Order: sequence, then structure tokens, then C-alpha cells
Amino acid sequence: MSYLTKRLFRAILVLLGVSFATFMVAQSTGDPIALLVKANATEEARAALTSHLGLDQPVLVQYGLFLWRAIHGDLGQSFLYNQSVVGLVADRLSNTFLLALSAFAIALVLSVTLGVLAALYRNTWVDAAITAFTMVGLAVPAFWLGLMLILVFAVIWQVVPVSGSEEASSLILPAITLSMQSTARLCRLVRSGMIEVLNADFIRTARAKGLFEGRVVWVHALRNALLPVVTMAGLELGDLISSAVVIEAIFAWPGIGRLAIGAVSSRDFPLLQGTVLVSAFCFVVINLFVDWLYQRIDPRVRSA
Amino acid sequence: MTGFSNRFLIGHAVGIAGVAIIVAAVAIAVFAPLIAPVPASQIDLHARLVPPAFVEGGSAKHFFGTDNLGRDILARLIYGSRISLAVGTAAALLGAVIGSLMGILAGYFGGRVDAAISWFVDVQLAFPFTLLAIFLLGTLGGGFYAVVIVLALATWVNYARVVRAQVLTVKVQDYVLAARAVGVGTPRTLWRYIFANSTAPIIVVASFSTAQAILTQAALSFLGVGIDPSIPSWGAMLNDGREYLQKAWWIATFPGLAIALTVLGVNLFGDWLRDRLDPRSAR
Repeated sequence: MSYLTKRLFRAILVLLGVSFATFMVAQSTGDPIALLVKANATEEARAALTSHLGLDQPVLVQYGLFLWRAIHGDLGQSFLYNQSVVGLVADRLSNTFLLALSAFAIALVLSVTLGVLAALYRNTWVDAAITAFTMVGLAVPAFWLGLMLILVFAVIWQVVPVSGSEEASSLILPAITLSMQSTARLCRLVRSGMIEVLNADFIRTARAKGLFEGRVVWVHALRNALLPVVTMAGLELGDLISSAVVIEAIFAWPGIGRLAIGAVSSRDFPLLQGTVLVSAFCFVVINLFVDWLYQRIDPRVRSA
Repeated sequence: MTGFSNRFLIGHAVGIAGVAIIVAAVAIAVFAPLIAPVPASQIDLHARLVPPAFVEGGSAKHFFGTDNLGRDILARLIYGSRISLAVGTAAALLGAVIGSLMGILAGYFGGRVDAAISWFVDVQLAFPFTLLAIFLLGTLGGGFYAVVIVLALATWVNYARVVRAQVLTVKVQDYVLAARAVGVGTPRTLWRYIFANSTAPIIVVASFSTAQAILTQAALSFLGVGIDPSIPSWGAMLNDGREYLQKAWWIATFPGLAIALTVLGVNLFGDWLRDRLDPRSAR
């Protein structure tokens, strides 16, 4: 089996696990019939609905049914919005992805710049300042940073909107807030990767050939120092999507996080389940893509 | 002084600073009733939204000011440390137990056991964690223990990966082979030889997991999920302060600083520990 076939097979297994876990948790929320029918419904009406929804079947058969519907894009109806769950989630998910990807782009640019600088000026005040910045970045809660940015830029200086998603500029604060932790984590990774690579033989060779130092650092060294960053990229994106859920609440950003919080407070379980399931599905697909990207960049993976 | 020894000394100072922050935070949490100027939930409607003492209009009675119900921010910060530290350490410990066991089994037995456990890891990682936590706490119910269990779900994976890698190198050591050869049983080998020699990475992961759990717990409280919002916690205080950001910035500002300082302390300690226990990572 080729590397990618193996990965694809594994992704399907993971999705089965994800759907089963989500299904079992949703099962435990109690009798869905009680939520669906009126309190004065007859015994017959209840029984009819029960068999219509397949709730009189064994749990595994019910899971099969659930999976069959899910594959066909049917995750049920939201009680709250009275719309199909898949449609609702897909709609909001694009907003969450826009936010997460913007934050990822900011984190990449900042972390590579700072990480390389810290490695080049290792053990100087530049390195110390960047290291201190990353330690603070890792410790500050993102949602608090968001509130402080709102306080400074939207309330005191009034240069960007406080919240919402109507204007393009409303993406700026949430994206910066969300990128903070990733920037700090990736920066540490780039720094230690660069330090290792800069001591490697091929860098000495490149310098000996008389290449410009800029080219040695930014092309030869950085390319190799970025490999661990690519490995982490999938996990990092997952983390960003997860943290975006909290950031959305602060900036009133209409993504899946706000959808999920609303679903909890109104006990809209099909919607909640759908939100979790669809985001997990997307995460698995992203990681497949990262795997593919990784083997394009690093030929060693293909033979492994 | 050379760069090396310079950095080495700074490393120690930073580690000690981390320990100092942790010790101070634990002392504050334990002795909260003795330190707090007033009870955390004491409402004083005559002293609503009083600014901090060091700001114009503030009073020495409320050093960090008061919130919208006239509750003393300093007292709430002091009591709030209890939830953060209790949940953080309990979740990291529970995660350590589950994750280390999984890591040892996966690393030692390999093959199908390894495949099954790494499947569990992949399934766990596929969920955006905050969403999973909202889902679990929203459907199965909240409370202190529920939050600890859910946060342990977030951390066990870290342990499992690190421990598995460690076990792979430990299990082929001569002392393990010798133990097997003289007839030491499998459970005893796992505990006495494999686990005992995997503790260093477990301790390092534990420190970072505690930091992660403190941050996530605060985020969940901020969203109003999990811990009862009437119990003073830093996350819930931030949530309270959100609506008053324009009128009373201090309500949301100080709990955030408290979280950041605590997490910084734990992370500094973790970094120092890792450099001490694993010299390869010290750069």
C-alpha cells in the first residue's frame, strides 16, 4: 500500500471512531421522543414516531442508520433553527475557517521571522527578548488578550469595529488574538530547528562555496528548519479551530463556536452533535492534505 | 563569562522564578480565607464598580476595585485561584494516569495493542477540543469532576505519545532483558522497570499539561460551561467583566493577569525541568 492509501484508510477508521463516540454521547441525552412530541401525544403516536426514527432497534443498528444518513449529508434537524443541521454548520464553518486560516497566516509569518532572528542572534538580547515574548504569548489566555485588544483599539482608540463580521476590518482583531499562541509555539520550533540546521555540514558547504549569507540562511537553512513546522501544521490548525470557538464568543464572529454555545443553552442536541461531527470531519481532511503536502516537500517520507 | 554558562545560569534563575510563582499561587489558594480582605461573594451595592486603589476615584478598601455587584476583586482573585489550581492539577494527574498506562501498553506490547491505542489517540485529536468539551459538558452535565475528566481527555494524549517513545527505548535495555530472563512477571516488569524509567518525561509533560488545563478551564468558565458560575473563578470573573469593559476595565483585566502569571510560572518551571532532565533539549 502506498503512503497516501494507508493514510486514507487510517482517516476513514478515525472518522468511524469519531462518529461512534459522538453518537454514543448524544444517545445518553435521554429520550428524543419526549423532546419531539407534545406532552399530550397518544401512546400510539409515540410508538409510531419511535419506529419511524428507528429508536426501537438495537443501538448498533441505530448507529448504522445514523452513519448511513450522515454519509448522505443528513444529520437531522435543528430544534432551534428548524433547519437542516448540515446546512447550518456548513454555513458557519466557512467563517470559522476564514478566521483560523487568517490567524495561521499571521502566525507563520511572525514565527518564521522571529524564530530565525532568535536563532541568528542566539544568546544575545535579541534572542532573550524573543524568548520572553514567546513565554508571555504562551501564558496569556487568548480570550483575555481579545478583550484587552477590544479595550485598546475599539473602545479607547476606535480604529476597528468592536465586533461582528460586516466589515473586512472586523477580521483583524480576532485573527491577531487567535494567532498569538500559535506564533509563540511555532517560533520556538523554528528557533530550535534553525539552530540545529545552522550547525549542519551542508550549511558549512554552502558558506564555503561563497554564497551570500542571506541566501544561506533564508533559503538553505530555513527550508530544512521548516520541516518540523509542516509536521505540526495540521495539529496547529486543529488547535486554532478549537481556540476559535472561544474567540468567536468575544468578537461576535458568526462561526461554529457561537453555534455550539447557542445549541448548549437551548439544549439543541442534534445541532450540537452536528457541529462537533462536521468540524472533526474537516480536521481529518485537513490532516490528510497536510500528509500529502509533507510527502511532496520531504521525499524521505514517501519511502518510509 | 561564556555564552553557555551565562545561559545556564539564566536558565536556573528562570526556573527558580517559576517555582516561586507556583509556590505563591498554591499558598494563596490554600490560605485564601486568611488572606482575603472580605469574603469573595460579599455583595455591597453601595460600592459598585469602584476603581482600583491606584486609579483616580479608587479607595484603599478595595485594592483592585469592585465589580458590578460591589464584590471585592482582590478577594475574588484570591478565592478564584482555588478552582484554577485544583482543576489544573487534578486534570493533569488524571491525564497522567490514563496517558502513561496507554503509552506503556502501546510501547511495550506494540503490534495490535499499539495500533488500537494510536487509533484512540487519532480519534481524540480529530475533535476540536473546545467544541468537544462544550459538547460533553453540555450533554452529560457539568460540575467540578466533569470538568476534570473532560480536561484529562485533552491531556492524556500528550502523555501517551511521550511515554510510548520512552518505553520503546527502555524496553530493549539490558536490565529489562535481565529481569525478563530471571522470570519477573509482565505486570511487575512494566511497573518496576518500564514505568520507573519513564518518569522523567512524564513529569515534564505533567507541568505543561497543568498549564494547558488551567488555560482551558478558564476558557470554559468564560464561556459559562462546566463549573457553576456562582463559584468565584478567574474565567467566570472575565466573563462578568466583559459587559463592563468600557465602564470598568479592571473587572476583566486582573483575572486575566492572574491566569497569565500562573501559567507563566508553570511553563517556566516546565522548561527548566525539561532542560535538566533531558540535556539534549537544552539549547
